[in-house]
Amino acid sequence: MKLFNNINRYIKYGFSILIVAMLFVSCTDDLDSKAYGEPVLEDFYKNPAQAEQALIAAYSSMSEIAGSDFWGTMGNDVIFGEIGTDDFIKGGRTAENNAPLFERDNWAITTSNPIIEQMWKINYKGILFANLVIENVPNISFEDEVRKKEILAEAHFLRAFYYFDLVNSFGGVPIISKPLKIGEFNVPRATKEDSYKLIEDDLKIAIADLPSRLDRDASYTGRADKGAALGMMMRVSLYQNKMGQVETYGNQLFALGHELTPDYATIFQPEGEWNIGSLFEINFSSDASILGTGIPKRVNPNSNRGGGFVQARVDLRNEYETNDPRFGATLFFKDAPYGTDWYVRKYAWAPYTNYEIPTIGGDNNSANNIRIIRLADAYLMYAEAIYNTDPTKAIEYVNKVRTRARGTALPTVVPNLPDTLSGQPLLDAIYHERRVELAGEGFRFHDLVRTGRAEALLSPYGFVKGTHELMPLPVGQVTLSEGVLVQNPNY
Amino acid sequence: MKLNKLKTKKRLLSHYVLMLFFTLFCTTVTVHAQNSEITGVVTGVDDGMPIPGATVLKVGAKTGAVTNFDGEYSINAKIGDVLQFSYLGMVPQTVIVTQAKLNVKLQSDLQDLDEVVVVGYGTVKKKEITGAVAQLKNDDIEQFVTSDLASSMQGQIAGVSISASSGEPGEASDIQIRGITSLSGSNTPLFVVNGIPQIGDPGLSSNEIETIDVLKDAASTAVYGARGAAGVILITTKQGVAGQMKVDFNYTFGLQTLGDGTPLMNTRDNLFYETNRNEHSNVSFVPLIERYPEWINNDNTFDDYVLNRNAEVKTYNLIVSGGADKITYSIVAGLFDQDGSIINSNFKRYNGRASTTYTTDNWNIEGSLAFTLENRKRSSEGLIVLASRYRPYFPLIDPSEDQSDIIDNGGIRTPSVALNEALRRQDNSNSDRINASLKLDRKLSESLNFITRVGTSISNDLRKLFRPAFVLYDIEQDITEVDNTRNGVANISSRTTKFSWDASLNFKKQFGDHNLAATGIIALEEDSYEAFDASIQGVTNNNIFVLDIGSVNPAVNSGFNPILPSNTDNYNKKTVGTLARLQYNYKGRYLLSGLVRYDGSSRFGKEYRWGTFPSVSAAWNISDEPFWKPIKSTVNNFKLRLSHGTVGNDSFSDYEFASTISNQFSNYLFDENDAEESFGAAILSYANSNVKWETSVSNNVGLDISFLKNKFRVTADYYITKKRDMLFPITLPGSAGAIYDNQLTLNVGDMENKGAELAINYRANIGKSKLSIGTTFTTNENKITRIQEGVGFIPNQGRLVNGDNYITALVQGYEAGAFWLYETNGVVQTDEQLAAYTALENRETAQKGDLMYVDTNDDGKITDADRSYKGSGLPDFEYGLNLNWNIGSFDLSMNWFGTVGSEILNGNKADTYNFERHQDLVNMWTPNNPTSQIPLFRGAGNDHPNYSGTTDFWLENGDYLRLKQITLGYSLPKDTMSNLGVTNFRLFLSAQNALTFTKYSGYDPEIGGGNVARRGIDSSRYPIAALYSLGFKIDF
Repeated sequence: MKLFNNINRYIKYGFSILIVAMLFVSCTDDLDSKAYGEPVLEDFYKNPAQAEQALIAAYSSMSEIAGSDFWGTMGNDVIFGEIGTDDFIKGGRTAENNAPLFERDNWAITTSNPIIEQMWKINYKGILFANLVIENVPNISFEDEVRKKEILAEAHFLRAFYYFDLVNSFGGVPIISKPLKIGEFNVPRATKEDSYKLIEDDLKIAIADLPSRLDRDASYTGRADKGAALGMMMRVSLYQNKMGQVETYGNQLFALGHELTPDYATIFQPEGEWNIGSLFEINFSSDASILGTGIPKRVNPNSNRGGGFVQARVDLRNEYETNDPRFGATLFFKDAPYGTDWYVRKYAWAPYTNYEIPTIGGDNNSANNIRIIRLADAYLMYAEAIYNTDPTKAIEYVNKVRTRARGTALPTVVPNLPDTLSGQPLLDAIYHERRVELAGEGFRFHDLVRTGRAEALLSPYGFVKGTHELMPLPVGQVTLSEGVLVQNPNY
Repeated sequence: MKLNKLKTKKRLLSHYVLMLFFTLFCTTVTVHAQNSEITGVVTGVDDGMPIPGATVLKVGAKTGAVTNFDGEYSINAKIGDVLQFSYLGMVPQTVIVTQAKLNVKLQSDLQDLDEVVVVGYGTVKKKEITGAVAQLKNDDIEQFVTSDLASSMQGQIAGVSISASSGEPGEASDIQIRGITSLSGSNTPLFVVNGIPQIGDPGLSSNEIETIDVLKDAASTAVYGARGAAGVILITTKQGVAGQMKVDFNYTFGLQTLGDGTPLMNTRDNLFYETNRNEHSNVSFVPLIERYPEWINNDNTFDDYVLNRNAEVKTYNLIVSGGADKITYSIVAGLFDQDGSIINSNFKRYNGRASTTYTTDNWNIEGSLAFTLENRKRSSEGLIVLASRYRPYFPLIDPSEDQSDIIDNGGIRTPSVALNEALRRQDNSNSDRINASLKLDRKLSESLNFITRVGTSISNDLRKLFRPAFVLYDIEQDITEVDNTRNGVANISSRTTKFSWDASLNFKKQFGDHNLAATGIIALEEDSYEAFDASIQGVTNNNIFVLDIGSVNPAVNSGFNPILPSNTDNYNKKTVGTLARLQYNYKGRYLLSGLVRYDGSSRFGKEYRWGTFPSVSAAWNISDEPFWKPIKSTVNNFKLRLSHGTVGNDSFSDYEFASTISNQFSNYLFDENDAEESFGAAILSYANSNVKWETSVSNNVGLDISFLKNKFRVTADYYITKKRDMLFPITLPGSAGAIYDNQLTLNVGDMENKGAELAINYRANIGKSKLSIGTTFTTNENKITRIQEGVGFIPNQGRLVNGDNYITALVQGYEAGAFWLYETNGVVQTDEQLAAYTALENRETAQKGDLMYVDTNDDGKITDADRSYKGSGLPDFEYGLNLNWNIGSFDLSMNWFGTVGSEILNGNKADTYNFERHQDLVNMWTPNNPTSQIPLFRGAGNDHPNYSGTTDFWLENGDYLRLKQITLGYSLPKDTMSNLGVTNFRLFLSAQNALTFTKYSGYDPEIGGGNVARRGIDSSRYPIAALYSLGFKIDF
């Protein structure tokens, strides 16, 4: 009996131990827990639809830096880039209102300025998203091989676009041309030349593989196309003083069929979006989807619910020739408690343009597309590139711009340049033309720097040669890199 | 085999359910007529007073009784039967019946050493504890009228730091056991209810709770492995006691009052200030009153808009308990109903719990089933701040109107819209929880038990958010506008489930003077959370809060939605732990305990899922040694405890090892007509597939001393916890492109917590009164000893005070979340000061009246590098004083709590300076007021450094001492009551948070903050109110 009890007991023990052991074995294999409710990286970049989604994401940084991100938008060339030049002062409610912009206004830019931090980060976000496309889309099988090539080409354009903004602002930057792995994050700065090389290589792919929107139906509008890539390439070449390259790509661009839209005053109106002379714009709308831009909010006068930033100096106002219709199309007067009281019309709201003040999604939800490259800009770049080698042709291109500017007015208004013009006077005429044609669009500062005129013209406002050509690297990034990122000189 | 087991389980379950029913409906105790009646009185030895409510049990039979108010009992028994008398706090006595009248005197259990303490997968006697463990009983917490259990524990346990992050009804306090455990994950300790681990704070009502045991050192928490890394709070719910049915009911009613907050200017002062500012600062706006002279008659005070004076709190509690020989039961039901002291907030909780136990020689079955229904209304976040921004002369707001008056030019639009909307915003949520646990304990032999526990908790939550539609009427331009994206309805539905199962074999045997216990455990847990939400904008009717009234932007989403408040990613987390524990003692004098836990967590990538964590502890009851004899009468008990433990920690976000694809921040518009957006998708964050266990090693040395007949009991502990491979959120460089989630969890960094804890209890009878006083003292020193190779500093981004990007930081050599601020040195007042100040780079344009930043690194510039350590929200030490005094029919209890050495950044002050509303600004520096230390307004904080949120100008001393609770009770004379069949009737008056001694100028110096980055920042919090209540308790 005792023996039986013992056996019974052993069975009981054995049984329970067995259960425990079995359950243990069965659940150890069970520790896999999939990311729940959200797709993970491993399941993405598998089909053409996902490739398109990935590409859309790569575009999104553009709308942040020109629209939705608070400091990122402040950092746009149209605002931050224009302030402190001989064209514009900061403006705003008071002299000191908006410290980060104020730093630019008096050329005392600190390394902790949030604008430069956001410029850095948002562009690199765009670069990451473009890199994800460039890295992953080649492995996706497409029925439409042409579209596959286009997707990659668009991504290359976008990457070039973001790098160009970085190089313009900071000089040589860390080159990251594929998604990084852990341990690879701390990348040192490349030289300016190497950074430009990446940009040019990207644009070459874009130029080769992208169609012109003029050869496609309207549904293609909004995407980077061949015209955009060529225009971008001209600007990239110009900023490096590669004038031959400007000419080469200009010739390719002009063969696409773009023309100047007849009325200058309509360019920055709703009807001027993606006109025949527009090479690239960042698209915005003002509806419930909140894909609008915040730039108009910054540049409208305080009385028109704006921030009142970017007000024109008298120097710019005097640059316009008498009766130049572009003056009125570019600037307007509105009495305000602080500043010069002259505001930029190009990204203003009604009553100064036909763009309405947003009625939905808040004031930072404007419909104004931000015009990135216009054909007139390309004409003037081209003219500048060839003024020495082919002045006649250069004059011809400048005159195209002036003729359009004149519009229906008498020929004495913004008269054609004389055919005899050449050398420095011609170059000065081209500089003048760029200044008035493109005023308020964010090019003045870069033009002055690349042509070596910045010191002469900007030092009265605090600009210091050898320092302010470049922005400082964001201090947070320099600190984080533990010395790998080297700060720009004198910051 | 599995099927078999399931069947067995099922059968057991049905058996159990039957038992439960039996228990519920057949509660009367059967009377055995053949026995004679034994009667008597139970009194206390010390005071000779009768003990009401003592349990009398006939050993080996189903009969039991409870003494009445006079301590009298009567029970059917015969001579020779054995009766057991027991009462809480008294030593139980077993008496053989020798005559029909049997009076018993019970000895107070001053020893306490035989008391049982829950230590996780088992219990030990207090005397046998080797780690650092503390216990609270229901008596210690039941005086508090609060929905938050933690708040009633504050100051009562040394080493457990509790601070409220908000006074909003239904909010839970932050609990930190022995310092900061995790920088990115949760610091909430593991709650274990009846042996079943929970997700977060289970939100129990204090009426359900019998005891709370807190495991503090790693050697003790190690039984729960990684889950216990932040300490463990073990809750045992009320169980019935065999004997007559007992019914307790109590009710309280209370009113809340708020203290003084930020002083604000009235219309007259505000206008005076604005005139001053326009004259002396370069900021000059035309005062609105020039345009609207009639507004001078307005004098809004924000209190009128947002405060709910004398908000009520009501609680109802009912406890029914009893049992017979083998079965006991307890049923608890409660309602807690609190209005907030800010409008639109309320918390209502209904809770119920039924517990039964069934015990035979071989079986012990415990089951508990509980439900909690919570309805919660939250007021708009930051309502106080929004309301205080609204100038006193602005147009009056009528919260019942759907229209709000604005002027486009003059700074009225934003505060008006914000306040109007906030006043009418709805945020209501329901949470329904079920919590069930079942424990089976089968005796396999005299020395071997098999125990298994199954537990589940399921929480279904529905949260409904509503933002009203507003017509903005521009009174200058006579235009109305409605922005349909500024209103909307959102519903969030989520379900959180937790399943846990454990099984253990427990061996316990005595070999002469050697006692050995061995336990083998396997524990399995699965937590999951799933949510979806729907939202729509374009509300067409402000009185209907359903999705159907929306008109634009309908959206649905699974899991995390950044647009909506406090929601998280869906997750599913599994952990498996196997544990072996060995406990040995010799004569109860030398005690040794060791355990090894092998843990697996699904939070880690495949390669790094498993970790082994050993711990060992020992104790020596020195007072049991023969050589102690001479002083034993003075120092009754002297015990030394030592422990060394290693635990893993997996407290960080789920799926850190996987990069998820998101469609946030990645849309673009191609459509020529601007009509249709295109949805993009990309990764938002990087993943670290190599993330592995964080390990913390903790050493503890403790002393337990009792002297003067156990009147004084002292427990002291000292510990050092060092964390290795700490899961540290590393900020990625911007060039990595992960702008919206730039943190990556890496196993880098080390952190150290060390501290001392002291608890002194004094318990004595003075005359006929019983007095007990407990004091606690807690220090913890947290220090980040290493961050990453070459990185010594990580700012905690994202907490905005006056628009600045960071206030606190993680800095090597300092405590986590230390304030990292600019030092300032008053206001520039003299020419010399100005000359010296403007000589600094970046301060060339400074003027008199500016706040003087200190160039702490002497480089001649004011830059980010000048920011320095300015203390933190963590106190140097905390102390508590808890008193209970029973004098005849009166009882008095008090809890005091204080902290010393913390700093508070007064964000509300900063905000009201920034928005030109603080009363101080009347006295701002101007040339006419040249000695003022209030800096001149020269633009908001992000425009001009004067009011920047990153200076120590806003920093205040956070020391405080608070009377957390004082209660005076009176029990009605027994003879009046016993005629009515009532055992006890007690009336009481209580006050909570009635007295606070502090120098802090804001609403309240108790700033939990919720996480490391926010601790000590007082910004748009919901302040804590004082509560005055009265109530009664009646026992049958």
